[in-house]
Amino acid sequence: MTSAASHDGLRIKGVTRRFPAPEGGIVTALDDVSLAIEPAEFFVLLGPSGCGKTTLLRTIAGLEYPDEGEVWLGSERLDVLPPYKRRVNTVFQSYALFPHLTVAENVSFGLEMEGMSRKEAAPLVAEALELVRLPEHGRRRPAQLSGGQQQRVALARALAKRPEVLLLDEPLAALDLKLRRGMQTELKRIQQTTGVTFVFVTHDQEEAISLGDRLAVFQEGTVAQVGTPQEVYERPANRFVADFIGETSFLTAERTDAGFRLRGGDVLPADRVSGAGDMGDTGGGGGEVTIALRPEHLVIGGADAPLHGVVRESVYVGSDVRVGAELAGGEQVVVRLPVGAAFPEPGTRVGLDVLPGRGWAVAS
Amino acid sequence: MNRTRRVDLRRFPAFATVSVLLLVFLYLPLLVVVVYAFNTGRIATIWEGFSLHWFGDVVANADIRNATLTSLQVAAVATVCSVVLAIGIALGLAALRRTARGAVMLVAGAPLVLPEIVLAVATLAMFAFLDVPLGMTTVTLAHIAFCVPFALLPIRARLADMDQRVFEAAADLGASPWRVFRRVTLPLLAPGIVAGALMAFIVSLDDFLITFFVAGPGTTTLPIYIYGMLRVGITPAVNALSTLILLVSLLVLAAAYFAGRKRG
Repeated sequence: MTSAASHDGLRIKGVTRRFPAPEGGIVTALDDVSLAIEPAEFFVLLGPSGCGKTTLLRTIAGLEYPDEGEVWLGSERLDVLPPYKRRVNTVFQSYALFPHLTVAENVSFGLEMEGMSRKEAAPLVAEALELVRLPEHGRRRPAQLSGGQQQRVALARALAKRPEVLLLDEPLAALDLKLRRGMQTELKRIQQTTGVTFVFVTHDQEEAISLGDRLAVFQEGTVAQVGTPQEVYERPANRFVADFIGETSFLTAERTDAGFRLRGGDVLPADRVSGAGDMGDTGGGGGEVTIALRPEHLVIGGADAPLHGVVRESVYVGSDVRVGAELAGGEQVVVRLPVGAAFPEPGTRVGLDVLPGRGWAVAS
Repeated sequence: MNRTRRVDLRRFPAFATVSVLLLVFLYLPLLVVVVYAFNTGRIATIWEGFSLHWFGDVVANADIRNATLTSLQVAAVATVCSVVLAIGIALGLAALRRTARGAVMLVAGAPLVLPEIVLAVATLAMFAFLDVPLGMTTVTLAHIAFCVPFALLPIRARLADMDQRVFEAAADLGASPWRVFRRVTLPLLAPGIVAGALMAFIVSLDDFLITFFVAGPGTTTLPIYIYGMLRVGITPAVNALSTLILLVSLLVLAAAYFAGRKRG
């Protein structure tokens, strides 16, 4: 397939979309959302269900129209066009294959809509089925295929059109875990070989982090954060993002000259926490700060460790041991122990420390 | 006490007997009509031997042929028109919100349960009010009207069963609304449309009451002709004609049933 990265990227400019709520009133599904998605990028829209990510995808496809705002693909304004005039294609969550057509006819459909005869489309159909590794299945009906195969046909059908942007709406949600892993690798390979811009909706943070070049985290119709997986994981913009992505313990602390004073009286030295300087008025001292801690950034130390707690549970999860501990002020934290470390019994008093700079002060 | 015996609350001993008696009551007259259609004698109630000559009489009777043609013509036009209307209503319904959809379905489906005599009187009154002369036109219009709910039911059921995303997928792949209809909606609805058409056809072919009210003197459909025959007296020819109609109805209904199930 030829590279389709000929546009100057997809621009979402201040898109707002409101729906009448079933129980009356208005739900704002998208609230002034702006995004810049670059050519040939694997861009993930991540968020819990009902956060607006699918509405945004459907707005780009033309299956929803924005109440306010614009959608641009390069120099072309999309939001005023009907779906069948946009150079974007969608892979639906339910696959939405045409049950009355064979696999090859399904893939050929979009090309025929461009005015090609079925004969002219045939080589492109074969190429698309080759790309998704289903070259032998052209004459079958969708109902004769497994869920994973139907998924591939849906992908081939959209890719055969050589769209500039491919929209994928939770395409792997219906697959079991093992198939999903396999398809993630496939999707990444296909995205890289075709150079098509992928906009991928998911509520699965692991999927988002492993697939995306960049991701946008949605929170109740707004974009909470845009960044690379590493940026979003390591420097979450707020408590919601920190909580949604990965496992996080939160501590509320008061900023003092010595560091961060927790509820129980323990003081976490200032060098253990970063991000507080960006926090505006909380950076100057005296304010209240929420510190996000990842399990792998906490360590169990000796009696001289700054924090003190009691082990509540130790859970073996295969690759490591997760220890749940309760701090002096009653806060719950989770610590990941390295492989082979001793297993602290519940009830044991332990000292806890944070790796330098790995505590992350976030907006609540 | 036998603890292993299961108590089935849906079982009542008398129900089986009553059900059988009801079925006999329902189907015995039909059986009698069919059997006596092959009777040799002129008296419809006394068996005199096997013969096919009443069927021959029926086929040879020009009045019956004309009535059959009239019925078929009305049924054909009513079927085509009611199916087209039903497709439109079904697609329109899909675009409505749930509450509005329920209301429209109620209105569109009401003729199925309303007393037919009321519909007949109302239809006749409307034609009288509009000063439309009774005849072929009024019969056909009335048939179109009461066939719509019958055509609508299977089409609507078929549409509701479909993944609504396929229409979005077609538009997404570049199909204009008309091409979505031609290439996706129509082929997918086809089994429901066939079932609906067959239902409408049989209901039209079968109708007596409304037709009788709005037909006027010149327009004689088959049911009306049979009613006329009965006033002269029941002959085996009536039995033979009824048997033929029964056969056609069963064939069409069986076709409708299988069309509705196809690729479900």
